[in-house]
Amino acid sequence: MSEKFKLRFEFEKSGRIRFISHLDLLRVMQRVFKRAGVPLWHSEGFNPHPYIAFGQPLSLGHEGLCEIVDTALTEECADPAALCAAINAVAPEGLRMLRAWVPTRPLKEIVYADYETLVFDAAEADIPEMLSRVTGEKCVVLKKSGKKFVELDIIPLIRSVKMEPAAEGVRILSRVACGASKVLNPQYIADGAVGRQGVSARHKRICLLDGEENIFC
Amino acid sequence: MNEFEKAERFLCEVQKPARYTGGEYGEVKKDLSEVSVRYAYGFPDTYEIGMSNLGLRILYGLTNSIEGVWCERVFAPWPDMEEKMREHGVRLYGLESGDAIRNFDMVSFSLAYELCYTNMLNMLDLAGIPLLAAERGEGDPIILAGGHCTFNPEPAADFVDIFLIGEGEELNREVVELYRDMKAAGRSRAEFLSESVKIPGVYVPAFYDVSYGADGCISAVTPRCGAPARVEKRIVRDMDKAYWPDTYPIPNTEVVHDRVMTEVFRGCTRGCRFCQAGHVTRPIREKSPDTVVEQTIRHLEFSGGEEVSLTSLSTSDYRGLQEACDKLIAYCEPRSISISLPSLRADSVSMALLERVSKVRKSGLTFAPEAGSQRLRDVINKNLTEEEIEGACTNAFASGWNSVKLYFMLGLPTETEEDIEGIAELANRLVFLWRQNAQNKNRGLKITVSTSSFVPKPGTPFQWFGQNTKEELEAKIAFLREKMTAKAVTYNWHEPEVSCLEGIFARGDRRLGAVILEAWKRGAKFDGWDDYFDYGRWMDCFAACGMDPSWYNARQRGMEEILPWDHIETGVSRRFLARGWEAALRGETLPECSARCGGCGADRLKGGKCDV
Repeated sequence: MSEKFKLRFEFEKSGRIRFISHLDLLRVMQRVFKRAGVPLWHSEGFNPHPYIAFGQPLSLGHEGLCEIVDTALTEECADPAALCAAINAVAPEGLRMLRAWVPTRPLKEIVYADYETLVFDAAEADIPEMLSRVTGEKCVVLKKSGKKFVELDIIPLIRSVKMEPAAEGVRILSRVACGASKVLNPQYIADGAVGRQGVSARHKRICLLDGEENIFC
Repeated sequence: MNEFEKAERFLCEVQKPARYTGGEYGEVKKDLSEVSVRYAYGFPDTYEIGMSNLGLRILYGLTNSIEGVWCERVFAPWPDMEEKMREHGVRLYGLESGDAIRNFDMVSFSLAYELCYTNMLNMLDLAGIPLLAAERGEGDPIILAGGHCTFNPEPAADFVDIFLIGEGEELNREVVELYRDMKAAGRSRAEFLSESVKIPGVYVPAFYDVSYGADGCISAVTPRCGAPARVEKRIVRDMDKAYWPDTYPIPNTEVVHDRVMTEVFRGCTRGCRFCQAGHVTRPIREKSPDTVVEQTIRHLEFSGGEEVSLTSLSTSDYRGLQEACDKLIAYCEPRSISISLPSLRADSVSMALLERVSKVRKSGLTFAPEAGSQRLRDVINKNLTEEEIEGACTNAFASGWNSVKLYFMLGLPTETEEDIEGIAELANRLVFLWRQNAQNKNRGLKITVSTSSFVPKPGTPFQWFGQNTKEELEAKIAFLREKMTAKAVTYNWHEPEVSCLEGIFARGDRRLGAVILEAWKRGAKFDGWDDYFDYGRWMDCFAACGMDPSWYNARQRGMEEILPWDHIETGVSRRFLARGWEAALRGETLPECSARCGGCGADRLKGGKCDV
């Protein structure tokens, strides 16, 4: 088996491309690497495939400002900044590599994420009540699980939450579980805060954090 | 806020929202200050289907290469998206800008299939554009349509301002440039339409009066306003010099065929009598192997694709195939790019080539004998013999293939029970051949036999033939099901209802516009999709319009009858087609063009001799 040189990218997924699914993102990444001529390492065997692993999947419709993707090359990357530029030149709108480096920590050390959520169906006056709902002892929302909905208490999954008025509604800044074992979609904070399922909101993942609440890199 | 920005609020609530966003690598964006004509390339089916279409890649690039013109894409939204758009008052928008196409200058539709008419109407309605050409005026977009359906444009005549007949590389450019220049000169919509008919290949249906006799048949088609009596299709004479895009939008989401497609030639020399494409795309025009290789590599590098398909109506007939494949294998193999060769004939040369290109992946074998007996294959001029099929399968089984798909049609002219039984017999013989030749029998054999119902198409020798009725076709399917006994053989069939409706519109006249409109009003859309097709609703619409559908599909036309599409010239003469019909009834075959010229007349379009 040929030698494998791991490389980690920090990237942004914003604008219109936020509507592609995680699976589509994986395909797009492969295509983009191929177009940019990235010397991707491939597994051996009947159906060789490259190594591509994401820090945490980003829900369809959410933007991410510092997402993580790992890959492996067949050679050492001499100039990560130039590689990012080459990839960005052939990437679809809204997908942008920010930097690349040789990873030292495993992806499973990602534990939390910060989100910025814009809730459209709310106003400044609603903030105190919204905040009290998601900072109490218990806050049960309906979570979609396959075709059914199940009850979920979101409080244990919220690390911190703040709210502020915004031009289009209310902005929620939250730090939530985003690891291998526990994960919370910030839509449920919006649902819990408003007290209704399927609240109209737009989400942006600001950063991924480790267990010590430091930026993961 | 433009239409896309309004839609963003609910896009997460619809299935596969990436279909409605644009923003792909390779999409064209232009600075509005440099744009004088806004053009929407409409595809009356889903994004996944439209983005797999080679015509879209070519014409999108072509239209955007015209100075001052910005061409955007627009597809039929799936009903869940349509419902949200209507609920929130979002009008159909171009994917590139997100702006309502209502305010564009031109909207074109690619009409590839008879059952997409209702989608075209639904898209016009979602856009807020009047459906009827007669109701559109100054300030409304010009509605254009092209594609194979336009070799009989009549059923869509009420809805389309300009049909573009034939290949678009030169024709579309001329029409769009004329519009751009006349708009700059401040000329009106009506003036543009009158001027456009001077461009060969332009058909403005409103400029033709159609009168009917007491028997319901057409008695005369009379042009007005300087329109030509006959509109001849346009072709590109030299495929090496024809426009070919450098780039095209690469979908961010999964589509039906996400691969590089390079056409190797247009036209066909085989002359299968049921095949519309093989007749209306004549004469044959090849690309040189160097052009094929250069264009393929250009698109592979641009797209980052892992698969390329060399397309045509009969890729084995491409004289440069060996050379192009040799050069492409040299490029593709080290890069793990697979080459697929659809529409290969079952001869030994093709099989050897297939073996070479499919080193990367061994997919199934597909044959289209079309008919179950040699007699009927002679009638339809499908020059594929029993020995060729059996020989090809013997070789394939011996070299490790274990799966074969066979395609047939039911309802061909002169068909008898013996012909249908022949389908089952052929499948059984392949099972026997596999037992004798297979290398490894542990993996089992899978033979899939599929039948579709024959739809007589305009521009073919079968254009006069009365299509089998739904009941006749259903009885034939039931008969064949009983004959299919081998365990290794799976029999699939298409329900004849869809083919019967296709049969009506394929050879319909402009009186059918009322039925299409009625069906759309009653909710018909995505008729090509099983989940939305509703035959009963269509039949109700015919009744409501006081029309007999069987007059259109099941009726044998008289050889002297004026056919609704007679004023549209494909280059193949009506006399040639009539000779073909008579020869078919006698079971006589017509040799391939390269063996002997059949005198179809299409060579005239090329200005002389055919390239065979």
